[in-house]
Amino acid sequence: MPEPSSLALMPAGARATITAVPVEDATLAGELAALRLLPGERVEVVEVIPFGGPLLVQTAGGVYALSRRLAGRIAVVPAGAAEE
Amino acid sequence: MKALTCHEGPRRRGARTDLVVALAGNPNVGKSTVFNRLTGLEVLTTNHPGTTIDVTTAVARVAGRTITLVDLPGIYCLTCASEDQCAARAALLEHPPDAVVAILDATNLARNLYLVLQLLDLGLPVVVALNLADAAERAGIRIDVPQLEERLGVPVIPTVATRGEGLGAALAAAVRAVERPRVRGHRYGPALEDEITQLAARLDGQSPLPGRGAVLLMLEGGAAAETVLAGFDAAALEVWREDLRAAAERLAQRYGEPAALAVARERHALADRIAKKATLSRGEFTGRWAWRLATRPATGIPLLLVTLAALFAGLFWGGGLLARGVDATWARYASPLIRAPVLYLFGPGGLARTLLWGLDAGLNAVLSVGIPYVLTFYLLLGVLEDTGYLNAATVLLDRVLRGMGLSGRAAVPLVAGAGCNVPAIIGLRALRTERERLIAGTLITLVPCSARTAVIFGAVAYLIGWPWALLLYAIVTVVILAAGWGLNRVIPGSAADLLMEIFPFRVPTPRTVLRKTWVRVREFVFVAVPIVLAGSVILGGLYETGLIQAAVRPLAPVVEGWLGLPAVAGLTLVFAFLRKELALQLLVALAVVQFGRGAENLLSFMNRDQLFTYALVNTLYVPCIATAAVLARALGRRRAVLISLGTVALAVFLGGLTIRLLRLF
Repeated sequence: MPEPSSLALMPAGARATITAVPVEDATLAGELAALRLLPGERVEVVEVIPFGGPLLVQTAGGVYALSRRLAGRIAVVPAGAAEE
Repeated sequence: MKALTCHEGPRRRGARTDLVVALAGNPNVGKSTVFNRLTGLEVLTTNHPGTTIDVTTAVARVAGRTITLVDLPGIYCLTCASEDQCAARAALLEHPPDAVVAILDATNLARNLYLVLQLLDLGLPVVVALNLADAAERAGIRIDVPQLEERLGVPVIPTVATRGEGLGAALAAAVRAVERPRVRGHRYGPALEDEITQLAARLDGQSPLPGRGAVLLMLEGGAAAETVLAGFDAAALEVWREDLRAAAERLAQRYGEPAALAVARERHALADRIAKKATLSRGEFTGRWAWRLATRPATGIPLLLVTLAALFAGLFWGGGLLARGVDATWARYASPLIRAPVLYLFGPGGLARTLLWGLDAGLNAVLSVGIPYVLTFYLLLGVLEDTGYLNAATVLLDRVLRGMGLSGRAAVPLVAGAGCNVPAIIGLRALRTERERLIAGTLITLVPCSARTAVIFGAVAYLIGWPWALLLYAIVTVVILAAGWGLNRVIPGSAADLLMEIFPFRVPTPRTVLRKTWVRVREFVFVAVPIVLAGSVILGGLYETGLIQAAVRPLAPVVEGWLGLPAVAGLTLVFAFLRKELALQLLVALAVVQFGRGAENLLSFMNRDQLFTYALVNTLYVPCIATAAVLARALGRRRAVLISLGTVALAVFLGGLTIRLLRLF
């Protein structure tokens, strides 16, 4: 079974389910929530820009560019684990 | 009219109107296109983006009623994260409009419905404009409009803003919605609804907002919550905070996550259900390859270079062609028509010659040096903006921006700065941290705006060749990168995180591009012409009376001694604090008077090295008086003065260095 990981470690093309988002900052949490970056939501990594660049992530709400650092604060389980 | 502030509703702004209708929606759904279309139809007065907050208003007349239309910045939710989002929230909560037209992207219905549900929770009369109906159709998406109306309990009107379809109907529906009794058609999960009902019953009538909306806002937390309880006394506030905390705890236990996330989840789930019921065919998105092309460095960097080269070539050929055409036409037709009556009325003396500085040489310069390049630049920028390419380029450049302490979000005001620094600095409000605003604000003043581009092209590319203009841009780019890198190291803190929606590319619509170009160039025509006229008449007066020698004397040590330029050129650089393109226009006027018509005559006045240095100094030193003023408002007076003086020092230092280096070759 795939190990829980962070969104920043997912390669392009990977699918995963979010398990935790940063909630300490209410404003950031509210914004992530509005974009459907919520625990339980499935995401797909569309593209990973090399050299520490951002990730393009497809959620049910659209496609978003997330900096590597922010993606690193979002916990996911790779697809397969959560679906079974 | 004065701009809106956080404490001032649209109604108190002098214009007496029957109704206030706000346009709300997610970013990039076409709100401003809707706004322009609606106000362009029957506009009475227009306000441009305010200086305090980013809410644009205009007055329009619909079915015999006068309506104040409020164009809000794009928002995903009412959580306040930056100044512009706070402005949108304040406009909706603190001075609720009579009705809201919620503009939705039909190609992304579920996510867009999230905001609609939040607006409905607040008890606002809402009308839905289902925009981008054409794009949805092309993508194979089919939406059952009556079904959506029934589920939401509000009118839904399909619109194509770029063609103006459905907009009149949407606004008319908004006017009718004001009178209609408000019914709420939607319900969240029972656990959440129970808590809302209990608290809302106690709050109704005590808060300016309806109880239900107020409770939800408070449960969602963030800055919005404080607005709701603003008027309560200390004791009542304490009781409410305690009750809310207890309710939030119960919800957190029930849902296994913080109450704010639970509310968001419930709302998304409901939006999803409504979208599913109302979607007949989901269509298929096929544009991912374009994002990959634009954001992968291997293809994205070449694409970026090609785009920049096209922009440069467009300016060089397009702007140059226009400039030559205008110049020839002026010399042949306009100039004789102006000279004859002036000489007839005032005789051939100094007065007539001074007037001709402005009316002939000055106007000639503004039309042939300023407007051709500014017009071409805005046209090209408009096309680029409309394709959505800048959005993808931001992702590609995020790494570079981060090295300068900026998030990708800062790319938007930086690119806007290439048009005009003033709106770019106003756009700083979209950035999250003071640090980012400070760095981006400083860098924007170094970005050559269209006026400075006109000088670079008019003086350097046109007269000494395009490779020199390219070299000048390269120098400015290095200066900007170095300044950003330095500021990022000097100012404590780190770059804000990027979190930005990526939009599909779109084919630009000529009408939108042309309209945008006109709105931007209009300012140049109406504001610049009087200033250029006045500037050239003053310079002409100094020249004709011989006072110019006295005026340039204090500048001589720096301008002649260090920069190696004619002292009078220094005077035009001082005048250019009013408007940057004025520098070259006055210089051209001076050359016309001294050496006869034709911008080529600048070369009898200054050599290659001098023209290059002149354009470089003009590009780098304090942008202009308008920019300095808005900078003071955005970052504080002290910082604005520091930045301005810093750019003068930088420009003078680099200018002197450049001319010495050029002389070696």
